[in-house]
Amino acid sequence: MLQKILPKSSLLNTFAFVQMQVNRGKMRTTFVGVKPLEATQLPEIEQMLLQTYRANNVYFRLADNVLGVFLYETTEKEAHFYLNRLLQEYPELQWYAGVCEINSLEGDTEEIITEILQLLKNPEPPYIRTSERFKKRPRIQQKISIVEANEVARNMLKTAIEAITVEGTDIDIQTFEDGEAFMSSEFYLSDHPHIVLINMQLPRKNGLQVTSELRDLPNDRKFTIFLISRLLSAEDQIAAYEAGADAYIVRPFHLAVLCARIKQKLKRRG
Amino acid sequence: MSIMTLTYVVLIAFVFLLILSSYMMIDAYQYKKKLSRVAHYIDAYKAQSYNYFINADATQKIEPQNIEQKQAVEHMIENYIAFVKDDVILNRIYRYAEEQFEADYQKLLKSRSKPKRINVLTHIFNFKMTSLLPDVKQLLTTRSLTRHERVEGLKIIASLDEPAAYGFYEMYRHELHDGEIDTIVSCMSDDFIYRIVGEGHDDDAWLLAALKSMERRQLVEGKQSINRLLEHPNRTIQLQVIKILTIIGTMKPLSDFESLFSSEVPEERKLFAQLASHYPIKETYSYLFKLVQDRSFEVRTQAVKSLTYYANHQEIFRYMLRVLKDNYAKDTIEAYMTGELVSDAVH
Repeated sequence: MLQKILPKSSLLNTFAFVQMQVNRGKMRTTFVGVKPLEATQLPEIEQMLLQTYRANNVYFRLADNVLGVFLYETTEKEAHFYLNRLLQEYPELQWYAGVCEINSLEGDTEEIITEILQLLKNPEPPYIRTSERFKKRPRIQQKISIVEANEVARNMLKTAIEAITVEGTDIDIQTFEDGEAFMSSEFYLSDHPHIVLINMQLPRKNGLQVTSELRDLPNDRKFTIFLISRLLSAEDQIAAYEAGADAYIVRPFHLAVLCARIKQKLKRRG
Repeated sequence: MSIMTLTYVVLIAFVFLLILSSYMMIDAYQYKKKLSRVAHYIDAYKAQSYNYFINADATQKIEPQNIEQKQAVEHMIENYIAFVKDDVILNRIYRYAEEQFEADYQKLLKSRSKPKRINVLTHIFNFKMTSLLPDVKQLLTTRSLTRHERVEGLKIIASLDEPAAYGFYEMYRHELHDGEIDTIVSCMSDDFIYRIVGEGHDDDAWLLAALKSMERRQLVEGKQSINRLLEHPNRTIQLQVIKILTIIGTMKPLSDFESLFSSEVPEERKLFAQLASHYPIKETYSYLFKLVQDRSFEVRTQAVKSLTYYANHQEIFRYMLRVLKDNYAKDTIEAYMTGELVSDAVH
């Protein structure tokens, strides 16, 4: 039903909801304000609201291109229910909720509306509180370091990992030709989750040394360390895990499998 | 010699040295230039080679036009082979190498230059070029080769034509040392290694190399054939079989291996300690209790390590620390208890 009125492509991100809950003793009135970003959308939105909300207990006010819907004797739960339906259709919507206390609904209606209009013009806290349920999630930042002396291998790994995409995640990838170059960069210093893909055999500061140094840092838990080696003895593997590696990868390895492991790690860290 | 003659000699020597050093400088300069051209092509082909070999984008196929371009591609695909083992990628590389390099390598195999021949043999091995197998076989049978070339040639046959490998190896067996034989046999597939061991090959060096490959690769099938080889007259082969049994276990009673426990050779006592971890503690305790006090550090360490495989090892260690008088034994036990030495047992 909603889709007929509001084709998704035309109205995504085009309006903001404001839900205000007005407490007066035991009575509650929920106001849902809709401010379209383009005035021409108003008739469509009005239609939508009529069809979305119950026909009775509804009161519309139109002011400054704002459609107001008063839902009398409505609980917050009910209001959320209606909003949920809309937001399922339009996940890009942002909405704001606030609470104000009044003594009398009649006398203070104008006051409420004025306040709402103010809020819609300038939706800043403390009046506006964004519902956690509907808050737009910020994108997660994650880092990947590839520390490998062999240039061809370094490029291959970088290109393969660049092709990995994880929803809601921005991945910053950098390459280094040895442990010394990596540790003297500032790339590993931030608090973002960080996957380090490092060769055990490197010319200056090998993989084991770098792993130990990273694990000595106070925020070492952000690191996931994959050690790559051509040696497959138990002793080498034990040394790697004792140094703090999370995975020991013997080369040659399955590139597709390695990429799948990294993607899984990125998703879980995200 | 008169002073004039001496002067002439010195002058000629000086001119000769000047010409030689000029030649070497020019040669070095040209070589450096060539390397930088190859490096330039490696850089230029980076994305394209990834798209073709890794991403299977057929439109990105590289068609090298000169020798430096070929060397650049050669360098890249050798590095891909060193790092990845996805069959799809490897097969694409092998097919490409056959197509692009077969003619050049065939010519180079006939070269008088030994470094060039060894270089091309290495490439043929890395790229699994079956089309050049007859040429490699011919080289091994008709030409006088360096040791290194022989080993590389035999490796190629071992990896591309396993049944024929022994015949070629036999031609040179008296010249090869154990390490080289190991290298050759290690190029063979798991199935062929099992076959050599299963048939109990009558060439001890060949059989031993196959058993070492089994141990390295931790191949766990073929218990029957392995156990049969315990009766082999060659002691070295028997010991290698026991090494494999320390990985895969055996149904034979521990008492069958008592000769190792009382051997004068520390390596054999260590093997016994390793094997013991496959048996219940009530069978092994008395042996391990003695081996923990062995005069050899390696044997002591292995005995303690074997004890860590038992669930109640902490209790055993605490008891041993109370009753043992041997300080070396106590040190080793404490090192495991405090984590200074780490066992690979999973509890």
